[in-house]
Amino acid sequence: MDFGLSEEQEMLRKMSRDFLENECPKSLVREMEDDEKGYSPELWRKMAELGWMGLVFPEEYSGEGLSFLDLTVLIEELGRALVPGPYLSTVVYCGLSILAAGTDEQKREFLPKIAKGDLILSLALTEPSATWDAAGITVKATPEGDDFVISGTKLFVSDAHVADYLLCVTRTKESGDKEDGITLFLVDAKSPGISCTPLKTIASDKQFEVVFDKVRVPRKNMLGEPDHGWAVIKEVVPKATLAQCALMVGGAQQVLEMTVNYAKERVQFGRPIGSFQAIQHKCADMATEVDGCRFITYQAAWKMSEGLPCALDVSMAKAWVSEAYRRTCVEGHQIHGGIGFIKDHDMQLYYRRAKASELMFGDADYHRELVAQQIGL
Amino acid sequence: MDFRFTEEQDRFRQEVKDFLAKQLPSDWLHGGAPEEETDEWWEFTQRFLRAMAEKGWLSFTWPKEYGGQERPLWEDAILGEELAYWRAPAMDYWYRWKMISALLLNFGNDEQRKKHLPGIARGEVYWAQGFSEPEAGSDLGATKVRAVEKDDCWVVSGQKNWTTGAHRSHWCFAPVMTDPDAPKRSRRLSMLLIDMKTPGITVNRMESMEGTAHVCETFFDDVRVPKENLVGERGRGWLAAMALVNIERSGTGFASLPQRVLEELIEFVKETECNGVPLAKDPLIRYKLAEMAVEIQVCRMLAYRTAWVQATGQDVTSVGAMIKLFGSEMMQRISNTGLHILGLHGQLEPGSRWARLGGSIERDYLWNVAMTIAGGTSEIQRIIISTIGLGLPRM
Repeated sequence: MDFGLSEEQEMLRKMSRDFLENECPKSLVREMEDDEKGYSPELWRKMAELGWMGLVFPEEYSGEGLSFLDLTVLIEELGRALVPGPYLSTVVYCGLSILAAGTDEQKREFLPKIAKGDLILSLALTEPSATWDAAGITVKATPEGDDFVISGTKLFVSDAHVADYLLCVTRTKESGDKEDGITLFLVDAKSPGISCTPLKTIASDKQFEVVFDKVRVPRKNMLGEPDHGWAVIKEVVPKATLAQCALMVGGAQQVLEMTVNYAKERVQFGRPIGSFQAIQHKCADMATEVDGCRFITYQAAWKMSEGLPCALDVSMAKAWVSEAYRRTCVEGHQIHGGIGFIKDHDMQLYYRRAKASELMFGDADYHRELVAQQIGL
Repeated sequence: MDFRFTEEQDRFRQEVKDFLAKQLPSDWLHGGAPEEETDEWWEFTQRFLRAMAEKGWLSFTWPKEYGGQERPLWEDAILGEELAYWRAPAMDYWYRWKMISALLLNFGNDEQRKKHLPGIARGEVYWAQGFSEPEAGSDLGATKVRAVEKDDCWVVSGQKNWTTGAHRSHWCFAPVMTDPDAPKRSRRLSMLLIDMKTPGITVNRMESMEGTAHVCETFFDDVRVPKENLVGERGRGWLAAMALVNIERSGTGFASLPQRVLEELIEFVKETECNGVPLAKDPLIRYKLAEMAVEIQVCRMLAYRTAWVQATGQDVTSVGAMIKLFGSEMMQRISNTGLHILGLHGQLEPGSRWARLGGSIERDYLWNVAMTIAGGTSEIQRIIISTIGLGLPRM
């Protein structure tokens, strides 16, 4: 066993951390909360130039050919810096779906553009039922000549407003088996009949209600097999879930460091509060939580990278990290006292995003049930 | 990163499993084990330890010069994991073995190593740990047991507490006060090896709340210890003690015994019906056991990380404190949850006709109270993590 990062991974970590400290200051993070687009095209372009968009795509699609574990290292840094924008939507949720299920033509069309930073995608999966299983998919796609016509409402769609394409998960057949009869389409976001309404969210991130009103999409834009699209979702959702875990690990690490630094500097009763055992014990618990988050996530990401079965590991990671990150933030706030509650302070940026990540791709309760199913219950 | 064991390590684990299957009665976990601390149990434990010794497993990580095989530390971690999983006898003794052999190998002189290591390797000589005292628990530096130089001896007087297994031990290793006037508190103690047959030693067994009596207090009344039994430099006993507690804390068993409990509980809830429905279908039970599985996975990662830190020669102080803290507190949560899943039956002691899972969870529930105290309390672990690990200022 080896719990250390490789030399290349250490370099990727250091390089991305240094880059983001300069290019993604908290002032940008705050600005983007109020910005309509919610991301900086300039930062996006620079990230693409560094090869981050195509990090795990094969070289033949202008990618870097790195592993999912390498991607995890990068996403941890994105989480640490709270990088705003459609990175996970484009690269992980949609890019990896296309890589997994796309035809050669689709891969050649989409992946190099993603890798160059020229294309933004958004996954339109969840609906007002807000479930993560196939039964939740009711948006209909009906064949008409060479096209399909999509109608219905998607909800909690991240980054839909800036997407060039929406990867829309539709129902094309009613069946007793809810996983049967699902088809995925890459829908041009400019198609007539699509309307996006922003949602006001706890993390001030960019999520939307997307209404499809008789939206026509050519058959060639189908991703994967007709009626068997759920297989693609099953393939990509564990990766998306781990990406959320990695994001949370990065956030948790930063919250720990901010808090420990504050405890060393903040003086009360004539000495740094970090010298009080009440504070030390909280910090020790935070450090233990963060290390637990890190290794349960990286172990699952390593298995994913190696192509080993990892459904149980992914659910265990999401169940743990979701709650441990929140606990870490709560303790961080407590140690920061009143100042951390103020909007000008960075703590609240992490606390609000922790809750959003907790919910995304299934909260701890959801994943505990998946764990129960997989440990023989 | 690589979270895989090597094929060689997998083979070793299988060898340990095969050994345990052969050495332990088939119903070992559910009624086949002798009651702890009875003569029958001790006979069995000694046989078991000698069988371990025949495998070479009590000394296989040592240098060849002292009869070891210089095996990688990972094998020791795997052995510890399997012993805990199977609730093998003598875990307590095994830990003290690791401590005394580390003491001799890292701090002892050649003569001491040659004298003591062979008996340890053969599984024949048992050691007690004399660290705590009535007024020196978490504060080891407050050690009061005094050793005064007289002729060719140290004359030792005072009381050591929590000298677990002292009633069966041949020897004891203990930090004692040799230099009360040294300006630095950490330079006042020295580590002594004390023959338990020396006149003036009295061992008193104390029954602990789970019903065994292997926790002891040991009294020293002008006990003459030959000068050559001083380990390492005079005045450096505190340093040696700190190195040893790192070993004590850095166990892999913290995850594997709970894993065993989880597996037993899963079988139990599948087989047990409540109002005609298996308990395994109850959402609350599913929630509790899934949470247990997740916590154990976190604990396993922290344990393996500690083993990796040890195996790669990095400082284990903070990560060892972390696994000890997380593991011991988790064990308490798990035995509490497990006891409730067994319901009213959960309160029954081992040996009771109606006990479930051999009454092991009732025993765990009581014993685990000691887990967050022995080997350094949770509070001490948190201070180590925050000061040594995170660099927070000391009090």
